[in-house]
Amino acid sequence: MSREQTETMMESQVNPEDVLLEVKGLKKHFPIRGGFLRRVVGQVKAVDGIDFYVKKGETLGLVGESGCGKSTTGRTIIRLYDPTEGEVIFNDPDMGQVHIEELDSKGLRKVRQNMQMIFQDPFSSLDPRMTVGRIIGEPLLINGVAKGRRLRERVAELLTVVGLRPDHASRYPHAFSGGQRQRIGIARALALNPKFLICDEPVSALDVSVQAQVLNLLEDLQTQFDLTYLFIAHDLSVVEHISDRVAVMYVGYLVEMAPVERLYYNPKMPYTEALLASIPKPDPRNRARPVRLPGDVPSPANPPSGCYFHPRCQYAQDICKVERPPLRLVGPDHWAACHFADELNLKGVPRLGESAVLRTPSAASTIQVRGRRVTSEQTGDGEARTEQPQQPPRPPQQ
Amino acid sequence: MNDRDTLYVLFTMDCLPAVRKATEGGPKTWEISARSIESFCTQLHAAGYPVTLFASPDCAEEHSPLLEELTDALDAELGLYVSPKLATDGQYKRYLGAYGEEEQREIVKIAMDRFMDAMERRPQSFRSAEFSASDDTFGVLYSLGFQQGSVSAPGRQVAKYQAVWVGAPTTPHYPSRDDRLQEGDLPFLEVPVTTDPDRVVGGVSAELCVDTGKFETWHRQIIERHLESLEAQDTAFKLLCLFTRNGSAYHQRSAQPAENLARILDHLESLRESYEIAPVTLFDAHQHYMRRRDDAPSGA
Ligand SMILES: Nc1ncnc2c1ncn2[C@@H]1O[C@H](COP(=O)(O)OP(=O)(O)O)[C@@H](O)[C@H]1O
Ligand code: SF4
Ligand SMILES: [Mg+2]
Repeated sequence: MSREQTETMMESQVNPEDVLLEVKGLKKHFPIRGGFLRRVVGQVKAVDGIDFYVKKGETLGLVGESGCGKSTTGRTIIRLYDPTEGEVIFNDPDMGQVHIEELDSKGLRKVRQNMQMIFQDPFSSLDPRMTVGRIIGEPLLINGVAKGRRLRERVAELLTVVGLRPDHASRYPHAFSGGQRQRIGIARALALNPKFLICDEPVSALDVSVQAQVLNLLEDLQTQFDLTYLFIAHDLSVVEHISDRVAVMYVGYLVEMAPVERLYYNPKMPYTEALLASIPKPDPRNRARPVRLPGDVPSPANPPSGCYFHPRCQYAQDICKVERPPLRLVGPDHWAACHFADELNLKGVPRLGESAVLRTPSAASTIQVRGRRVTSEQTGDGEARTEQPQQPPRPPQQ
Repeated sequence: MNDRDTLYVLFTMDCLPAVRKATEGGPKTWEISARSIESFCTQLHAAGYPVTLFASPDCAEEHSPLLEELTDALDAELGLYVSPKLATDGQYKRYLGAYGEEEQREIVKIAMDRFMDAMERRPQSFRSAEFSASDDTFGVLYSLGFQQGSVSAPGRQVAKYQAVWVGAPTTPHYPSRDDRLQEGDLPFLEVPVTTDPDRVVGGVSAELCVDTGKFETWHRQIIERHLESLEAQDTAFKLLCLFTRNGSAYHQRSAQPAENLARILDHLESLRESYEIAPVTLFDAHQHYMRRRDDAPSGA
């Protein structure tokens, strides 16, 4: 199937009015330079022709192992990188439909009022020499939106919105934990009232108990400010709770995309099955060890022939070594790139029951991240507790 | 298997101010400090151990939101760390044990007030810099409302810092009111850091410091020797007390301190064959100690 066909079929799945972002044939190749003259000797095809859309108000999870091209996708959409090829069409609430790949710097600045990115590493993404107030206020100042007292008020409001205190504005990043720094990054991203946030593994660097708090915050903000998310993660356990649909990426390509229930229950691509099987199980010894799939992600500079997953795929046949399967429709709004998507009976996991996700308003929050139950609740005496049932038992208090 | 003894395990970290001079021993920058503290607590929390942090007043002031989160979300306990020089801005230049009773009270009070201004809570656990103390120290701490401390390093003999702990008890105890080396009836639980008092190098006994040495030749041996001596003395309240500082690179997984920590945690897992491992904060340790005392037959 050609890309045009894929594209047309995608359009058939959704009303164009409902689409906030559409990505068509997006490629980002990085040159590899070598030798004495630093000549280009090859290309890292980090993103190599992907198509997807994000509907207004939804969260699309983007998942794949490290090195699959997720961050490059996010960065190219927001034009931190210029695409090598392809289109990024954003339905800007102020400017209407814009082709982000064509914008000049002025246009980019404008579109970035509505489209922002939250980065993975809360330690390197905040300037250590700037106060939190300056970090959060900078976009307002640069865009001439507020200054002086109004700026300070807006910063105080943003701090409150993300669960920090207005007096934190005078502090430096080193006063804060990774989770709090991520909140500061979120406040900065929200400063200009954007509509679309690209969240690049916003909780990967955080302790599990803190992950839940930040995920809950992102969900609350989504409702409160009518936000749309592209939510990047390296495993399926984190995106499950927050996503409406999930796209799975492998070595520069999308290999499966479907609504959450379908993808988890009934995966159609062996890589997704492997990712589902690798979701961390509660470990009796409870040491946080990353679960790794067998085999390595191939280098995007030198990918295998045929289906890129074939060296690691237990279902691979001869055709898989020579012919790359296109992303095609295999069910309602369900896309998969596998020659045998219709024949294979792959093993999924049931979606976490909604009943397991109990939330009360205000400070109490419970969230279940698959394989790691996290509860942080504000108890009557003002002490927050965190329960992790699989931990070595601590002796009872009193 | 249900008659296995409980082995309490206490991880502590001294949180010093970022250094102005290399000789002060603190982290190079506040940023390193923040990352070290958080990584240490996070890795231990993931393994089921809460950390007891002893924060200097400067550290409480610089890191208050971070420390609040670590106590709220990661079950850390926050105690006070006092180096007279740093806590009083150079007004008192020597280590705590060098001062008389009233001066010690004054110094600790200054540090405590700064801590309370920053954290809006009263510290109940205490450690002094370089394990410096005199015979007056435990009484002073108790009079200021401290309930427990980890002030002694049995075997240490550094006279110039007034850190002399030769012959001190090696297990948690209530100290005497006027002799720091004796057990007594002051209801303040002193939890010595775990050492091997028989292995002394340069006036300092081999101490169970996470970032010192390498696991095989250091931590494993100190732990083994300590457990042997606990068994030999038939100690009822068995505890390992480890310590470290906020300048150590726990945020760099391949660095030695993080490597040591991972090996120690693996070793503690293997000790589960012989002991019921009970992770505690210093506060928790005192609660358990009191319960055991209450449960013990009277006169024992
Ligand atoms: N700026 C860059 N220059 C060269 N190669 C890059 C650059 N950024 C990413 N890559 C390469 O592109 C591939 C995809 O990287 P990335 O998008 O960061 O993956 P992910 O976010 O899924 O872990 C990797 O092989 C990575 O080494
Ligand atoms: S196309 Fe072949 S190799 Fe690729 S995922 Fe499907 S079965 Fe496996
Ligand atoms: Mg990435």
